[in-house]
Amino acid sequence: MGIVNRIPVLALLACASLAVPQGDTPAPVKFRNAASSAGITFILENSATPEKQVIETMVGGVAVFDYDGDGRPDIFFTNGAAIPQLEKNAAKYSNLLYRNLGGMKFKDVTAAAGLEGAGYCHGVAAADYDNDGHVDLFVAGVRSNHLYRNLGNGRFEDVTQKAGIRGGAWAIAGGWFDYDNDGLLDLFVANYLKWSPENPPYCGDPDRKIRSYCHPRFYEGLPGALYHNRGDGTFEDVSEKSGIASHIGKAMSVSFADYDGDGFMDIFVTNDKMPNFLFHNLGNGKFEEVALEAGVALPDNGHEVSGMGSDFRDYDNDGLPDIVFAALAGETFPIFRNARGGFRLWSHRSRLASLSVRRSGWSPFFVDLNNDGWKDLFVSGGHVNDTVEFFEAAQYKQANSVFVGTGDGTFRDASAAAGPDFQTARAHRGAAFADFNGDGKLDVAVSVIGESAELWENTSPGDNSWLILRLQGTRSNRDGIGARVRIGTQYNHMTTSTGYASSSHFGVHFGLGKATVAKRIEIRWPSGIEQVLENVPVNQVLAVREPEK
Amino acid sequence: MLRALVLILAGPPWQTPPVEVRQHVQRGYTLSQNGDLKGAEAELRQAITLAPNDPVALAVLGTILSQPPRLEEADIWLERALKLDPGETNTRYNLAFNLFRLDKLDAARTNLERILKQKPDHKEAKSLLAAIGVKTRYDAAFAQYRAGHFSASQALLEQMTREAIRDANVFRLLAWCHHRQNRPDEALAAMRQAIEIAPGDATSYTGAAQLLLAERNFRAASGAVDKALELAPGDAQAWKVKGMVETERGDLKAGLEAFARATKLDPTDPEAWQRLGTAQRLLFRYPEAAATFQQGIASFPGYARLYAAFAELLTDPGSHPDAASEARAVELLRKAVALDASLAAAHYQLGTVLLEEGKAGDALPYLERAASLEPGNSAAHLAVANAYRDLGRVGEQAKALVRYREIERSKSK
Repeated sequence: MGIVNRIPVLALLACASLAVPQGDTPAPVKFRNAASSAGITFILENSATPEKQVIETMVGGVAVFDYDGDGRPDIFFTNGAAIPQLEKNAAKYSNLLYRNLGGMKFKDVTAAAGLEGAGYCHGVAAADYDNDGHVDLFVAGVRSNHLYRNLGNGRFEDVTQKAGIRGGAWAIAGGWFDYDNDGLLDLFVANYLKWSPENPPYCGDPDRKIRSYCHPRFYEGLPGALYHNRGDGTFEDVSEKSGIASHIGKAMSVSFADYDGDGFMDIFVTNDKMPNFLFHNLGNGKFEEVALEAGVALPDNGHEVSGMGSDFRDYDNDGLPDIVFAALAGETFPIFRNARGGFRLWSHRSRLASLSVRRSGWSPFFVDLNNDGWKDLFVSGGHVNDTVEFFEAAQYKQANSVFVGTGDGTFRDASAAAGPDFQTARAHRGAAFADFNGDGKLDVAVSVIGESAELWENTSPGDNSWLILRLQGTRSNRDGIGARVRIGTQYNHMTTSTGYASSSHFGVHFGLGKATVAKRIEIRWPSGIEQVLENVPVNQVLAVREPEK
Repeated sequence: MLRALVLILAGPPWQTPPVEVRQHVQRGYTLSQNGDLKGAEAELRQAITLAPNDPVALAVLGTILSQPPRLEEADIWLERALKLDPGETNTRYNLAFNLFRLDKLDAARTNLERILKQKPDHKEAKSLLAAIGVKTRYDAAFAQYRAGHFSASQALLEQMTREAIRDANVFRLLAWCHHRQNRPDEALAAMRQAIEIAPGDATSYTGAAQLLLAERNFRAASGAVDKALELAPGDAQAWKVKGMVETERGDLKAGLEAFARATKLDPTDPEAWQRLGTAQRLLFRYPEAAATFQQGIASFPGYARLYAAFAELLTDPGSHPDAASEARAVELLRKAVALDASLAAAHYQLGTVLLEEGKAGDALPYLERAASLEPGNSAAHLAVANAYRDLGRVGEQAKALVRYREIERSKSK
């Protein structure tokens, strides 16, 4: 069906739950790589060097957002640059914006949009930070970050300087959220390592002349940065006074959720081979780092993990946001289940540990791919080190993974049955999600080092129902980031910060099984306003405007 | 040994035996000179059959048999020879030397003192007596080390070094004393002294590799162990340490190969089997790892680490653990703890398995024991904190996390 924009009638009504199917045999998930037919030809150029500069392997942010407001999600890919100059001195290094033309066709509109970019780029975060109804972009990179304001006429303006966004460090990712619920989106920047192209350390096996990317222990870490949105197009760097800057990490991703239900969004940061951070939002402009106390700093065995991309979302529909992040072969992809008052490592009980132990991944996303009402897990696949096969029983190029949720909190590996295209091993990196063709099944765009990006059209069989809520805040931030949505027994929240260095700005998706109507939808906006919709027809993109009170 | 034979044959004249006996002794001597020890032994046994009380035949046979597996047997012949000719200092020296090699230091010392009474200038006896002095003191230091009294051991060793005793063993042990007292620079300096004293001894390079590995200086550790293997390509211990270095620096495949070599070269080292099985597990070769651990446990039923490593395999996510394998893992870990109550890793593993099963109360004593056995192991303190968290004992959780943070902070310094 086509994409529908409409403002529903709002009503506060009594709670009614929507029946969600569950069973032992989850519906299958199928994908077809539609990149070529869709006109997606982007190749991620990391400018690989014999010195194995570590920035090369950390590339690949992808953002999905509707840049032109036509209701169709468009795709933005970040790209590398020449090393050591860190300049986009050739066309192949350009970032790329693809406009969704409909019918699963895309067109490169980078030049028209003015989004070729500058420098060596890694992450991207999409959101409407100035509440003008046009989704803007933050692009993170080595020594320079960029804030691109969407002018609403198909063009973007680089407003980095006048907005007061700093560069200088190596930022892997960024994320938008409203930490003080003032209706303005703030920006968290995840900085990785202190890196310089001069004299890179030699790692690997010099005797066999096998040079590898160095372990993060060879580099010093960096603190994250937090920018408070003043609402006048500028930001205040509140890294110090918020308490964020006092925590040195090696951040690979950032994701947001209000894990303790206090009405303030908290920050989860994966760190590479060091304990993760969970910044608890104290609600007074300050954050307290509580990852150890909450049980999400490390797996229970205390082993440091190569924390990659993350997702912070309620996967088991108990109303409490859980955490998953990707890691490397042998480490498993840890899941931390929110047990109210703390998290419990759930990798073993969810079966994800066994399913993921031989896999290496980058960009995870809890997403209901078969619309059966239970969130599945997509993870883009690949190892960080292109020489890993010399040393370990792991592969550098790997296929992506799909683990389907069974409804009892466990997963099954559905990757092998996801279609022949899906089995192709590549050096995947970032991934972003949206329903590109309006069929209600979420599709995926994935960047690949040295090869064409993938556009995974979700061709899963079945006619399960769905809803995508496209939120429009009024008192809250316009994107409704942080809004918590409940449909029946399902929970989700609005965030664009998912996966590795990537951003998925398409709304809040629900698979609804055989339901023909969503009897009750409850939305708790960041402003604190609660909104209830009743008897909403399924299979539509539902624009929901925040009531004034 | 041949030097000692010459001494005997060139010694003072003895009661003339029959010609036939002399011929056997002479032929035995010649054969031994040519390296045919079996033939030599046969000739001498024939001589002794013909003249059971011939001290030369007895002494030469004893000397020929003075090889490590037959030292005790050799001593029987040497002692018989000395009963017949107690003044024969060369035979007595050979006996003393064998006793020294057999670590029977008091008996060796008595014999040497007897020689020196007769011949105060006997150079070899003097030198061996001095070596016994060093060995005795080294043994005392080693006993202190074994008992965990590292500073006492260090004091004895340093006294020896102050006396200008330049013995590689002394410096090696001194290095380990420093290592156990968290003084990495001093440890490495002592090991370097051991290398300087005996540059051809692979043991010191292997030791240096272990010290460098503990400091996570993988490149230097790799260089040291490669030097050890260059000096002693058949040294199982060096191959084992090579495996440890390669595994730690991320080359699991090279690690596996090295551990396999170590177990082939010395199948009696249970640690090599344990490490081989662990390397197989890390490379996802689960059936091979299981076979290695089973074989290891069958061969070394008293080696606790093998049980712990097997349990780790059974709970490894890649081996798809189920209730039965987890129960078996718990059983193995309980066995490991029973065999070696000081094995922190087994306590820790048992605690974490029980914690994972939601049995925080059962897990806690094991985790606390692990943390007390290895106070510098931050993971153990974190696990203790997690157990307290699960038990809702927030104050104690906070205390354990303080300890965790202290350890991590000191590590990062």
